[in-house]
Amino acid sequence: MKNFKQGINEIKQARLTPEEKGRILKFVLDRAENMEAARAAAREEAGSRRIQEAEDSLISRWVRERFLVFAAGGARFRFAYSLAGLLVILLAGGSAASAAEGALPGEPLYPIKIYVNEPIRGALLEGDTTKAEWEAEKAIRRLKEAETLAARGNLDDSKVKSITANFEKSTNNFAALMDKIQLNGGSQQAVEVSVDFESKLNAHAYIVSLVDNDTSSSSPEKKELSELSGAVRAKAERTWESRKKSEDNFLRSASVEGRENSGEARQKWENKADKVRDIIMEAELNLNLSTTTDEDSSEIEKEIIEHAHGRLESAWDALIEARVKSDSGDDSEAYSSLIDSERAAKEASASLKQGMDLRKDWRENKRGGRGGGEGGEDKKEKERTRPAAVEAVREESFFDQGAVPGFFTIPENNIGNNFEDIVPPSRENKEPVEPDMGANDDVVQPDENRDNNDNEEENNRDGRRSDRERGRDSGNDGNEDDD
Amino acid sequence: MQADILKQQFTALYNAESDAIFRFCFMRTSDRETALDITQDTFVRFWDALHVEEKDIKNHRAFLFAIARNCIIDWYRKKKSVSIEGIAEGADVEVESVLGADSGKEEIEAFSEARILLEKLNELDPIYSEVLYLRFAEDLRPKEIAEIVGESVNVISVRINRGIKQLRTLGRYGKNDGFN
Repeated sequence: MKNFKQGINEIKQARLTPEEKGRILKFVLDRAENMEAARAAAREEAGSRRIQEAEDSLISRWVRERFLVFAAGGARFRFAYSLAGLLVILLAGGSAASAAEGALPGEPLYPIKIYVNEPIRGALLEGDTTKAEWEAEKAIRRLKEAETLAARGNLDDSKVKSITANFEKSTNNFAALMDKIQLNGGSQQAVEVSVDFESKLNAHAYIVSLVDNDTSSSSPEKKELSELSGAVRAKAERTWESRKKSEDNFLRSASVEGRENSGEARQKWENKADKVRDIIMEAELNLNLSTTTDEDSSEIEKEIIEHAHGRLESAWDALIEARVKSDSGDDSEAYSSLIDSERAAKEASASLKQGMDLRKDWRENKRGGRGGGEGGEDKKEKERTRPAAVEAVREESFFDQGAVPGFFTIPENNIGNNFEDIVPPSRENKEPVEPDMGANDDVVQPDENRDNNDNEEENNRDGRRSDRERGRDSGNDGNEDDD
Repeated sequence: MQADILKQQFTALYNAESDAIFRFCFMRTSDRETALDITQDTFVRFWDALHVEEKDIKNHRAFLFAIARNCIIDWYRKKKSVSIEGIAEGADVEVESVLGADSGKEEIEAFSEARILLEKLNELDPIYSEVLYLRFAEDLRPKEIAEIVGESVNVISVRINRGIKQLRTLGRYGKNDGFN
């Protein structure tokens, strides 16, 4: 006779199979890993928010300091008040200020962006090169705004005009600052800033012209946009010239240095060449990432990708040329080619990036019916179906509220039955006209419940109609019999 | 790096305890798949308690059983709301599936004693069968069982004693039948 202990020992042999054991462990550890990754991402986000907050507080501190200076002056009392108002807005709306960063012309926060955020940020900067960089950034921001608006189909005359004016202002400031730097002898950094700006200008000149061609010729903004496009091209040209100048300046001074210390100059050149190669390769990587086989991709996207390919090719060519020239000892030409290569690569990546940023807007705009016939129908279709959908939802919820199934649905139909059909339906023909009540009571799933209701409603209606007909038929029969 | 150490510790503990937890879940739910789910759930909650809520856990084994017990209670509640028939059907423990999918016929024969014991345990009031199971099948001390069930050590001791008595009255198990 086996005993309790035996039973226990047998029970103890119940185990997970190795496969089950491994599966559960893997699940728990994978989940832990995913959670860790999610938390790391959240931390990062929180970190960047802190940085943003720190920036905001820096700005408000700056305003406070300036405000105190004005207040001490006393003479500009009113101005101090208005500035205090501004301060209140800034402090209260620190988030508004950061929210304004993404605003577009025509949006309520846009004035904050260009009349509050940007001037403050500009005023905080030290050094001509940094300031020039900021002016360049502002000019590019204006172009991006114009492009985004155009891509969304929201660009109108006045917006283009104001954007163009602001763009001109920033580029003029940039040019002035560059001239100033030139006069002070120029610097490697200034050349880089200039190359950067130039490549971005070229990239955006290209994008603007694309957008320009894309908008239908009858649209009113066409002319204005063309003007903007022209302005961008002109500025790109001018920046190129000024850059050449500063580059020459720089080279001249560098070549003097170079002769004194050719080893170091050589090393510098190599470093620069490596950097340019990295830029090209990164741009190529981005390009490969952007090249999708997506059928949805529009002509304009394909064109941008094609363009980026072209620019990268010239970048490689220029880089090789620079190497050849450098080997043959023509340092200044080599440097110039190197810069050309860098510019082409940066242009490729800037236009690509902007193109990809605008992709969503383009697609939505296209789908919205601007230009494409199919798209237009789609939109209409949506509008037509929407009210119906809303109605459907309303009906559903109405019946759902009837916790007792059939409470709301039966009387409607039955009233019809009772008052219209004076002749009662014959028993054997009456298949679907069963009362709804009982059938629904024991249904557990609410969805099924509703479906049943709907079906039976239909059945009821059908049943009612046929009953009526039947009633009439039987009446006729009776008459014939009488005859 | 630290994450790796945590994982190693957890894996060691898992390897040591997962069978016991699974067994416990299986005895209570009588369904292998459900027991697997609850076992997984238990270890997920255990990980969270250790590394997310960073609880200071003194007795990992008892803590694991406590989580498993709560999971099982949750499962019962859910199940009740879904269907009542299922519980009635699932009341019989399928010893075959206790042994894993690869067990042959002979082994099932060998587990006849386990089957009988489980049947008897199922006939007991759950508050007794639970403590008896933990005490004898998992060799937990009354103090640990008290932690798991959330009662005092005295209550557990009493339950163990009464449980043994009840089991004896149900038959087959004599005084010298291996109870400690």
